[in-house]
Amino acid sequence: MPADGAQLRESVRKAAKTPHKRGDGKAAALFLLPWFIGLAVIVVGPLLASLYLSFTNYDLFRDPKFIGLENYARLFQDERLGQSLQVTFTYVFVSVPLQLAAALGLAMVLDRGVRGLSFYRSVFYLPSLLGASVAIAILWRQLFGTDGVINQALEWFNGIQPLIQIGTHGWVSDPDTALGTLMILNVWTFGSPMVIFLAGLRQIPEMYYEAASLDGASRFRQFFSITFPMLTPVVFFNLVLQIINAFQSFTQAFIVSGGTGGPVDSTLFYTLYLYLQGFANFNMGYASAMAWLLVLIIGAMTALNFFASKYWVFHDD
Amino acid sequence: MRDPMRPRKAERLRRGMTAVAAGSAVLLTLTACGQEDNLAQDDETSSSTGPVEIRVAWWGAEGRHEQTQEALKVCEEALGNVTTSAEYTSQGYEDRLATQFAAGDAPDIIQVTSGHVTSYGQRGGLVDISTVMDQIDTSAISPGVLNQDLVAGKNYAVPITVNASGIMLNVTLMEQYGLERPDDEDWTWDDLFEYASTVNEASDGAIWGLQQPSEDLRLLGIWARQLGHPDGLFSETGVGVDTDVISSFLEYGYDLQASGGSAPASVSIEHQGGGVEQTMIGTGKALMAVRPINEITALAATGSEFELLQLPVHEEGKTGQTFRSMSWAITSDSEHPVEAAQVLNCLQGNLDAADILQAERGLPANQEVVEHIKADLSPEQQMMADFVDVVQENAPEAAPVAPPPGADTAETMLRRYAEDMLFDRVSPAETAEQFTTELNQSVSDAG
Repeated sequence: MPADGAQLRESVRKAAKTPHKRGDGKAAALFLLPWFIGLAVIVVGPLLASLYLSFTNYDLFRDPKFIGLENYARLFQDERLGQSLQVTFTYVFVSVPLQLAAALGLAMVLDRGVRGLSFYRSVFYLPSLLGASVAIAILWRQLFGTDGVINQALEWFNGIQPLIQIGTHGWVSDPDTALGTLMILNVWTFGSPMVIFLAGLRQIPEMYYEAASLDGASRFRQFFSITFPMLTPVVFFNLVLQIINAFQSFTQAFIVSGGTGGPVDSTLFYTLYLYLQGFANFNMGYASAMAWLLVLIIGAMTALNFFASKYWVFHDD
Repeated sequence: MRDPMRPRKAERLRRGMTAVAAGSAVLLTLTACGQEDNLAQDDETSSSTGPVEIRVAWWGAEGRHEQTQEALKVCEEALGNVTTSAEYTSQGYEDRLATQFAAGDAPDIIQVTSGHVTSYGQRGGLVDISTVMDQIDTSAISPGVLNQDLVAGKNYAVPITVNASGIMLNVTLMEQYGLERPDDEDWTWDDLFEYASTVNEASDGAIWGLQQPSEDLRLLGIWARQLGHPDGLFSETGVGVDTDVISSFLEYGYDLQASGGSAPASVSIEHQGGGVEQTMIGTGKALMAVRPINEITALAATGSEFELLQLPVHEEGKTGQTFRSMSWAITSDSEHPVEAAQVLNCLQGNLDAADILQAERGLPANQEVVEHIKADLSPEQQMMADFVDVVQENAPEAAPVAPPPGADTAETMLRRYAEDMLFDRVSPAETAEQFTTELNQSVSDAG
């Protein structure tokens, strides 16, 4: 295995050193053109428009009127915005670490050579593709409903050994548990970081483990002294990606709460509140300002991540 | 030796150029098409001799889509100078409209609820109906109903239906659990409370008496009217009643839940929102519910037998009922407001169209239409017609004050605060206080 890796690296290096043939650049540019047009029309254009609108009182109906920083000032007085930030941060800081832990755990199990690896890999990856879909959100609502599978299972356990009082408790309709069900949904989509972890694990040279075994290091010790340090660049990559993803979650909360962020704003994700301001209250100017605040927050979180990475991410070169 | 796979420089260049040329050609064609469209539209506006296309939008279920499209065909034939195109949806109607308004591309005619007449009208999205009144015959609509949704003294919509709130009673469940039919003649809220509180026990915990009513904004308005506030919940500047009124309303639902007359909070809330089929009454978990009476048709389709009961009162004779439900409006984006008004007039009053549309949207506001289709009404629709007859006799003369700008979110606001209360986090009095404050704030922000 390590030999394969070295060979591959060598050939990649060679390929990179081969001088570019003239003309390839033009062809590449041509093929990239549709993407660039898309970027300009679908991404950059609206991006700039929303920046402008965030300084206006745009309400979708009448022409926007410039009002300076009024929308941004309002952000600091908005109680529901505070609530939505609290919900979102709780969601990000609880569900992302859990999701990555689950992903790493399963990746390590699969890495130890399971029969039918590709099958398991696909099965575990599937939720990542489905997680943000409307269908799954509806399914979730059913699972955690009063008559849902979760309650039925608990009921069954209660029949054997009465432990908890379930009675008539709907998990998605109780403000104390609604966000929890969404966190579980996010943890359940551990497949995509898992696949990346799996690739990362494959990159760790077997000889380190052989040496450690000879020195009598336990599996536990091996994990903390070899596996995790070697894997930190991948952990970092997953962390950055999943945090950004989690901040942008929308569909799950929209469907599970019926578009309200309820019960009692307990699932009012930042993006959901932004949508409600823009499309239900017609405060599109304010919603645009909210969008830019989110950009700043995600930017700051990512910058913080990169800054902190100096202290814990291990680079072998 | 030259690599045979590698084309010569000139050839590569030629290929590249061809691709670029092809690309630009496509782009040019696309822009050309766009221009042609614009030209065609300009022609229509200036000459207005050829048939004009009127876009009509509504939300609803499958049956409504088919019936309305058929009715539009009837209108096309009756008018001769218009063609229509239908834009209907079952979900996300308001999102779509908001986007279309933003793009300046809203349909000519839209189906709207009272709340949205206010929010669209106030922002300049709708045509003042008085400017096209010569095209619309509203003589068969009672003035009280016609003028219920005035925005700053102007009417932006023509009512399609008259609707009221009533109590849905699931007769099948009532008989199944051996319950007596409640007497709804001049019954009070206390009578209802008492009756509802017996149901859970009588059914061995299977069902509850009344679906939780405290999230119903419309009922709150009626509650206020019954307590001697004819303007209802709103004034021009926000909430028009004391918090005591709102507090007493919320307390009713709160106490009902405490007594077992309605389901525990998490069960109730799980069944709020969404269509009537998903509610407590629609899923057979509550014996009764306060709902708009036109929903009895949808409820009857769930397989149980339903009956309409009158709303309880606080004081004999004071029903406080309100009637408006759904309207047609013309958007300011319409390039042909006159033709749009003609189509609108046909949809609300043409008897051939009425034959097709029936009372699917609810009991028509147009009395001539009601007379015309009376014989064809289903038993449930007949129940609605009778209900409205009784209510109209006792209803207060004055219509309630329409929600002021910024109050179009009151419904979700009430729902949020009521949920907070039902989970025992805030007392009814505090809830009323907070709801009033936020609603007033929202109105003053919009003003």
